[in-house]
Amino acid sequence: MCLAIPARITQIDPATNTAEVSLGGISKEISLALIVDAAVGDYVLVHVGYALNKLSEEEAEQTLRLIEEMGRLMDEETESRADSPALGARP
Amino acid sequence: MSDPAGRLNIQLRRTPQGLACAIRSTRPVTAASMFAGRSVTQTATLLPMLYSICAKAQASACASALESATGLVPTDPVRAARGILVKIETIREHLWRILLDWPRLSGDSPDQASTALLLARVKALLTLVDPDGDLFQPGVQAVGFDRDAALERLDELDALVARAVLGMTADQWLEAIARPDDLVRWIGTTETSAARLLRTLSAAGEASLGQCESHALPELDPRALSARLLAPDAADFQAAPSWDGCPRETSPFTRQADHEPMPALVARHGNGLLPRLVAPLLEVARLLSEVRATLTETMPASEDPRRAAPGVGLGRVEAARGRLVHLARVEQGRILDYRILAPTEWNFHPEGLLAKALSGLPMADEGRLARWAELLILSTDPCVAYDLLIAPSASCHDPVQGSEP
Repeated sequence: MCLAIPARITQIDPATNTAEVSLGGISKEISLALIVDAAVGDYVLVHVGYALNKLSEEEAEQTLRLIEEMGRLMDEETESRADSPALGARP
Repeated sequence: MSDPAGRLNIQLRRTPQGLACAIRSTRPVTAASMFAGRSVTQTATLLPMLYSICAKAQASACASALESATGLVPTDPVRAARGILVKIETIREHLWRILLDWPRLSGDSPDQASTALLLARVKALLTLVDPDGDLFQPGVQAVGFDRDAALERLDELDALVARAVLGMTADQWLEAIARPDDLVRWIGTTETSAARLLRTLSAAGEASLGQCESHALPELDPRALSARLLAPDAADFQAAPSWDGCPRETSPFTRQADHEPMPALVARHGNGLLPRLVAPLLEVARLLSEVRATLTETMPASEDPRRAAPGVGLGRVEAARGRLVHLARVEQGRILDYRILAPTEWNFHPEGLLAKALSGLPMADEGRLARWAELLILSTDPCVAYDLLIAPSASCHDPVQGSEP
């Protein structure tokens, strides 16, 4: 929630000012209209189809590690809730 | 990992009694528990990296919660400077919607050029006020920034808002629309996409659409709120919160409801679309004015961190989409529990504001229902992507449209 995901630019189309990024292993097209000087290999923060800003590789990788950790925690929680009928599923 | 931010799934179904609305969320509302075991300093650094959409509001709530849990008291200048950062971020979040999403709904193109300029000016202002990037570290004492330079950047931001949104500076606009008739005149004569959307709604008789019963989230007693967030079923409360037995709303609309010209607008249109869309415009203008006041004189900081119990701290911040609450339980400098209660969970509660507004819409063809639903969702402003499905009673599987992150 309230998360923007770092993604690495894999391809740029200057004609449409769009880029293809790799986001959690999935390829996705985003707009580069809101940032300048983006290049293939750069990490950008993606939100609602736009690159918001560039991130250093270190910052992007740290954020991705946090998101992975969060994903594992959420998976464990889902399993534990599924095993506990008293708690049930949240809406 | 494919969609770690989660999504909202909003379904509208026709029934013999009218429309029925179902809202489901896959938002990871308990994810902040991952900070358990980390140090206070690490948490204050990492949390805003993870929650990066409203990073300043998240960082501010985090700093307040950690400081109150550990008995640290920020100085007034620190609190004032933090308040400036959160307000500037709120202005950016509202303008993002107003410049990119509103034009689409009145047949205009998204104003990407102004949005790019907005992001650059906001970034410059945020960096000026927090040059070392340590303003949200718990216990930070010193605040030093160039107020004159910050005022210049703020003037540039105000000028951008004047050109792209309001047609005049924030202070001029607040004076010009103080009475409802003045606002109607502004809507009728201003050539910005924001005014055009409001004009389109008014002309189409859509200004009062979505009126419903809604209760504003009151000030919550810190001890009662902490107890709720630390209860065994806290995860259920975080996912679908209610207070005193009913879902609540916390939004720019509830924050601005008492400020002119909202009371008369609400008397005319209830909490329908037009007042809901005027609220973020009014908030942008008022926040620009408030930030200028803070920069030119020492204006008292608004947020007062509260310690709910020894070792437990609450941070409460008015973020762009409503009130954001963080709770931290800390022992010997380490986090034992961390909980976040975000405004989207109040406003998109399965029986809350948006569900009521959507299920109260009149029956119409699919195209009109989809437009009205999108307007209402936009005016309630979720911070994640959503899927909207409008289904006949027999089926719930025909996607009409969605918003991709």
